Amino acid sequence: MSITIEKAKEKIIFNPNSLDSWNILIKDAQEKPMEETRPFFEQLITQFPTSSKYWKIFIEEEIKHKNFDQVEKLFERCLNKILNIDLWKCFLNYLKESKRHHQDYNKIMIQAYDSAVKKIGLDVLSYSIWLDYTSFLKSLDLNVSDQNDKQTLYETIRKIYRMALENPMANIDQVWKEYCAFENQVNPNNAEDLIESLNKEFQTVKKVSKEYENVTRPLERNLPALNLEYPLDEDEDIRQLHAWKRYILWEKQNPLKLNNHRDVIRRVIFAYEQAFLCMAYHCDLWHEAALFLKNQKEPLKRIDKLDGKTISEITETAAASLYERAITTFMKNSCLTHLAYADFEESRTRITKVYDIYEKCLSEEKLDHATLAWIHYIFFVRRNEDILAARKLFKRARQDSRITYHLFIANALLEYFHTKDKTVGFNIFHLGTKKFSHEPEYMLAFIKYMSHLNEDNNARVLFERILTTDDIPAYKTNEIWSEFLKFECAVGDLASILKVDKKRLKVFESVQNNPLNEVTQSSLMIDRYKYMDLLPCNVIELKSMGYKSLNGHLASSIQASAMANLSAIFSNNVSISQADLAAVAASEFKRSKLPTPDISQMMPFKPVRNILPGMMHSIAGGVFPFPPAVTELVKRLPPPSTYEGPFVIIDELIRKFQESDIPEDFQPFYVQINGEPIRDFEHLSTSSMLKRTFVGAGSDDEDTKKGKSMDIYKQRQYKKLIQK
Amino acid sequence: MSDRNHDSLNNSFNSNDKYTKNDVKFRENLYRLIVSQLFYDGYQHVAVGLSAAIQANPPCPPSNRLLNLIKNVLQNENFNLSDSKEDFDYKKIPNGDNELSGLDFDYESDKIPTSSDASLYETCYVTSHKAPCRAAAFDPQGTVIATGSVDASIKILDIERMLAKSSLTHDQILTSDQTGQLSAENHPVIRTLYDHADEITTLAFHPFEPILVSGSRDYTVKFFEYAKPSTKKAFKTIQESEQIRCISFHPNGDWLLVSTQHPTLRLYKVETSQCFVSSNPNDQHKLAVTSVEWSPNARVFATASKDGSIKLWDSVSNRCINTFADAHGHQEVCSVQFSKNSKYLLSSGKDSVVRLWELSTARCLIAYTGAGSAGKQEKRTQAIFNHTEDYIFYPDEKTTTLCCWDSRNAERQKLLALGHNGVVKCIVHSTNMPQFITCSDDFRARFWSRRTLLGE
Repeated sequence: MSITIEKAKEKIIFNPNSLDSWNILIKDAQEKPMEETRPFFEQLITQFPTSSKYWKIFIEEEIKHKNFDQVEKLFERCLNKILNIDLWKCFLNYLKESKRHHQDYNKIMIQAYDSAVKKIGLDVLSYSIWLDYTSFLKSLDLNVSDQNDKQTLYETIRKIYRMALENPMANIDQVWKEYCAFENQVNPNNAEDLIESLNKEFQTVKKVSKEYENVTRPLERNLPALNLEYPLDEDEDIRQLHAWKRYILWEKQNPLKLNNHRDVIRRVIFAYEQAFLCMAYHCDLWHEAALFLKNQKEPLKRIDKLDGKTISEITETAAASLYERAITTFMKNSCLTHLAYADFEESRTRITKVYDIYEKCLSEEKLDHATLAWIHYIFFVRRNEDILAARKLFKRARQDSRITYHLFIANALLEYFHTKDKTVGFNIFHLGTKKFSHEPEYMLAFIKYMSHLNEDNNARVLFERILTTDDIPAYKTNEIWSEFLKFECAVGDLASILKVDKKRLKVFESVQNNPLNEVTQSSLMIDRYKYMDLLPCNVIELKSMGYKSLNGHLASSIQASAMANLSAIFSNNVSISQADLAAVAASEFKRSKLPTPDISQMMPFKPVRNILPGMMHSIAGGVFPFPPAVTELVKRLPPPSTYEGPFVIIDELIRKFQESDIPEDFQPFYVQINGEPIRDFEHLSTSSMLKRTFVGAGSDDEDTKKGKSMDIYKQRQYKKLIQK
Repeated sequence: MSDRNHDSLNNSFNSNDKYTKNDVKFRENLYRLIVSQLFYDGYQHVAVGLSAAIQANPPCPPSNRLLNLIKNVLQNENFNLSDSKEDFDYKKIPNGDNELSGLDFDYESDKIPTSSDASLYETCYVTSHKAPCRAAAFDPQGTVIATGSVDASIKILDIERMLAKSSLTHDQILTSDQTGQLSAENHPVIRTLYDHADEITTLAFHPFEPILVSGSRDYTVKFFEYAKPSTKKAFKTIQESEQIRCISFHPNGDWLLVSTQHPTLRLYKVETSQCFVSSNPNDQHKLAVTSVEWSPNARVFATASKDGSIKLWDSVSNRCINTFADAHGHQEVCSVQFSKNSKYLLSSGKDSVVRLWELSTARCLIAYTGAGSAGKQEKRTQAIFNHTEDYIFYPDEKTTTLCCWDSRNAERQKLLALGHNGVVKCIVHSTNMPQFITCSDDFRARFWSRRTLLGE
């Protein structure tokens, strides 16, 4: 038992997504005293800060141990962040239990219910909260004696009912029924009219409720958000993500046909918030939500006729705070979210904020693409200040240990395009070679820069320098060599072209023994003559030459055709994501490891109903099938009914077979029909075989027919004899 | 909800010393483990006695867990936490995706069911044939189902559309029927295939390709590409010499087992339609083979026959490796089904008893009794696992209700009225969702799904 727990503890360290391990630990913790396990529960909710399920387990545990201070603190921490119906229900129940004897019990409950319906009243399962609220209010009725107070109470109840009936949710019928009963009870005179006035609206809401139930049915709302960096069930994750997106899309289409666009936004954002609880690590959801908010300006202006300030509050400020939330929590290490946020802030000219974002982004230790963030930061500084500030920043960026050569290329080109001064760019490239002279891509960029500047001699020197030093291993230099050739083709004479070609050949001869490379003369020649994707011969010729796509572009074209093949196989969708392909490959691999039948250990069999004597199989119910070659031959013979002789004397034929000498060194040869060899155990489907007919062999239909006709013939002969 | 909280509040008031309480709980656990182990080891009488003495509630399932625990502890004592076998197994389990969800008496004893029992299912959709409905199948992805009937037709229905339809109100169906367009687009029946000449007796989906295979009394097995909207006829047919009873795919989809009215079991290579049989004539059953299934790990397959025996076969050599003769009290055996980990086999027979067999020890581990008490069962039917293997479902013939047992401790659960007006001869459960199909001689197939909302 304790070993399981030790293992589970180990497991969650290297895979915090292992919910099974967490469950084992939770079960264990529930049996221990609270003081010991509190750190564990804290760890649990830190790992899954949006999981209502785990918060609830923690809180219930505290309730069990009567630590009511702790309970309230925990509720404070989670309620506003996690709009989950179960958690809120748990909260309301807790209040009901614990505050029963509090002097302000009613006030506290009304307040709690008010905030509950405000926060979570849009949920599909919120009916129970609405119903609890109204029944609670009704229970107050008994204590109220003053007629006026009573009337206000009824007004409040009516208001709550009407609010509830505006929202589509499950079980809305029950809410409606209770409302009708309530109206009939408190004012039997006007009840009919009041109900009638609401009825039409209610019918639409009811219809939408059904749709709402359907669209939210596939959602697993108790699933905690799993970090995509660790292994998880990808299929399930994608399925859930799609289900959430379908739900969000449904809300965006305004199924209730609300006239107030603000309410539509409220519902959509509620849907997004729900999705974030389960799918917090999907950066596209965050981005989509922010984009949605940003795009609502126009409809708000058109439909709601709001003033500019309110609009920007609803859209831009909300979007900004959403981004802010994303980058401080789940999207901490996502370069994309930071960049999108920065662009968004820049678009509404909050420049200082953008600086903060970039600085924060680069200060993240585990940021996924630091160089990219630096590059965009520099671009941003260039356009908002000037090139000098960008240079200063570049200097700072160079101190960062995470950068790659791309930073140098980006900056050199920036300098060149911005200042039109080639020397600064040249210097930057030079600076980069100190660190990255072993990167062929970097050197290639440098070369291209030089050759595009028409610095022929400098370029040539550079080529020679790269290709003579050993910074880049020879088998990686091909690209540079072909660039060199291209360069010479453009500016040099034939002699220099041939010189380069010869040198290149020499280099590759020396690497030819390298098993990594199979460079042939002819393939080098093709590299010399090709231009972009134009090749001097077709793909099949290339393959036969052993052209192994040194430049990678052929590889990519072959890959593309392979992809096309695959998509043809799956025919349904042309676009197959990489993940799908990987999943297919994985399941194929799994299947290939399954044990499969070995036919050499079995007997071939042909199920037959009426077995002719002499055709017996040791297994009942069938005969031996012909060998595949014979089957093939038999299929190609004309049907027996077309054969009219001469007939072979079978006994003689068999005797001949027996007498003939079969040489010792006889090699069986394989039959070929139309040039196709007939392999062992290969013939077409039995169904087509059975439709064919052949003499004296197993097909039951044919045999029975033939048998009958023979009988009729004999009968006639017999009749004739008798008549004579 | 509120009740439970209330309880937990009260409980905590009462328990003053959790340590003694924990001790009591541990002791109770220990006794439960002992009872489970005794059951597992076959000492029924002692186990029942002890179980009564400690008033075990819920009843203890048979389990080998205690032995494994002790083994592990002793080993750790000796080797001071070296890499024992248990270690290896443990590592394997959390990584393996589905393995945790199914039955495993070796490592678990008191597992609380995570799925719901039969009484919480409801009919979502009913489809009618023109004659008794006899076969059904779920596709492995859980997107469509197929039903087959004596009227020789096969219907393919879309699960999502059936679920959507079930939640529409009556008025909406009426209005949508009037417009016509909606109903054509969202109609759950997406294909109807008429290519057989006689009753469809069995249906099976290919493990991963969109191919449906059907067996019929017209002596043929047919392959349909049901994903193509234009599909009407089979693209491939295997001609048999007997009426087909049951078919099962190898998990890689390259091989197909076919059982017929004739006792000889056939193995077909799907690509070439070549047929093979076991090399030993004595391997075969004596009477017609009623059910055949390949194990999920592809190592073995199982057959059930009218001769009352269940046979296990090695899938590489196609030889019979074990026979459980008279598995169901001299009566016909009607169905066999493997558990997801291929360790256990569930069988049912005309004695109305459902049995669970442990294959590693070749014995009957649990018998689920209580079905068929209203009258002798005449017709065949099937016992099935639900998707998590927490429960076992078995249609009772005389009352047309669904019996349900906890798969671990064989405790009977609430019955579910199936609402059919005829015998239910076929029932299949989805492998990943709480959904099943029942096919009955009243011409109807019902699609059942777990109720989603608590308030209803």
